[in-house]
Amino acid sequence: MMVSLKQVSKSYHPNSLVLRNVNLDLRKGEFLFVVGDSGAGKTSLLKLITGEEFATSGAVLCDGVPYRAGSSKMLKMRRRVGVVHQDYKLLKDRTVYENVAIPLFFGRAGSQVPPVSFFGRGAQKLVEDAIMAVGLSPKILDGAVKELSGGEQQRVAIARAIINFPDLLIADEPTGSLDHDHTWQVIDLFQKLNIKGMSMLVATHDRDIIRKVRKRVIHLSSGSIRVDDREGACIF
Amino acid sequence: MYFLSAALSGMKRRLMTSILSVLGGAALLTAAASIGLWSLWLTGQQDHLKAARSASVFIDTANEGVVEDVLTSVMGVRGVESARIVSAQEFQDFLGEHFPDLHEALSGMDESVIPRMLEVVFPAEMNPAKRHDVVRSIGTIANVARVDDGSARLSKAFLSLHWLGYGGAGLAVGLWAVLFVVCLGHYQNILYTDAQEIQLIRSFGATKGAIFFPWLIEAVLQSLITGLFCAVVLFTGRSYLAEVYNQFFGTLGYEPFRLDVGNFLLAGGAMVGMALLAHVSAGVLALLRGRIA
Repeated sequence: MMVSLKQVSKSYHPNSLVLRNVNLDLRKGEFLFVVGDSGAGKTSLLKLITGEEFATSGAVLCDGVPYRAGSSKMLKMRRRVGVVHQDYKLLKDRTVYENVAIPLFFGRAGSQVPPVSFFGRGAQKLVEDAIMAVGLSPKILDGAVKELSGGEQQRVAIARAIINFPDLLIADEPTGSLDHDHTWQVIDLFQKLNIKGMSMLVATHDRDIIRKVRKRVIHLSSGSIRVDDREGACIF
Repeated sequence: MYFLSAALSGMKRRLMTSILSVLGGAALLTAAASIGLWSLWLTGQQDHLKAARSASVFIDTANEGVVEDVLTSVMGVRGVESARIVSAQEFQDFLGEHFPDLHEALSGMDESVIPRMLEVVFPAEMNPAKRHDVVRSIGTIANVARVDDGSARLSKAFLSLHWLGYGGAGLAVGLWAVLFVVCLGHYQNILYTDAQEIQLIRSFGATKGAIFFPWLIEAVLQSLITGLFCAVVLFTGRSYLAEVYNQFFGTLGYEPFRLDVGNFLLAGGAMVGMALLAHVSAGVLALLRGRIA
């Protein structure tokens, strides 16, 4: 799956651009970090790629097909993308299991994921595997999400994003609420998934991660890409 | 699994609006079903009404002997269940009750000016064609001046009730339209209260149909509860309604609002169906009107 942004600008209010003429290619199997100060436009960039928002000008393309609101291609594209939202977007009144299993009912079952029936049969093992992959115990599956700590909720959100083994994982500050050990557990997981062929697009503030992982980094500032470092060698 | 949990969770979170939707729907549909069942009952009662089974036979003389001969002849006609002489006093009483001026005018006159008549009753199961033949046969008996078929009079009365039927149908449609608006408000409210969940499942590639499916489950559950509520209200209130009815039309002497199992199921099914139709069409419209990326 390849995502391209061509001269993309985004504004929520007139005379106030959040993104300015952004050009970006994310190739299949690539690992890309997006960094920048708060308000630099990282979340807007990610929302444009997930299709939650649409460009004010320019074009966002997935495998050469431009995004169009409500189109069937758009929905198919979304099924190939896993998203970890900055605010987790968990359904607080449901169990952990119900939250993690949601994409199985809408998303495409990838080649490494067996199909799940409409009534949820076959989902149990996939949910357990996903929840263990992010370092949580399957014992929490029947508990309510609202009873979990912030770090646990963040990992549940990550488990939900990877359960379908999407072609592209987009994560907005996925380690923001995690301690050092869990942060590296998640980053290790991302790297393993990337080796298996999953493209990664991760927005983060954590310079330590960028230094150690050494993958492609783009630096956003005031809505524009200031640096596109394909070696991940730059220090911010 | 997701769809059922989403529907139950939604109803739980929107408990008050769900209850209001069910109660509002139940009230509207009970009213609509009452009108429908009333019309159904009214139509069904035609065969049971005594008036529909009787005829008045007017005799052209006040001679008691002749009147008794006519009675004997009438009793001999095949298809007549019973017949009796309506006494002059009964006739006077009838006039006194319904036509006091005429009663006063006749009271000072000789009894011979008061027409003599018979009341003839036909079997309940007799079909209209057969009765028509029987009435015609009675008309050919000597000294019979005129035969007034009660069925014909009643038909005219029921003809005027057609307008009541149209009005009732219009009112039922209007009540359903109100229920539709209530449901539309309910589902538009869901678009706001569940915006985060809709946005989330949309980001995983959910179609509008997938967004709608939990609503459909909710609609089925609410419709069943609404229908059940209507049936309970309608059929437990039936005896009270029957009592009130008898206060006005008690002279008919029949148990009103008789409903067999078939009619009961028809009414129950109709109410659930109307509620479901209102929910589903309102849900679809809300979904089409809502701005969902």
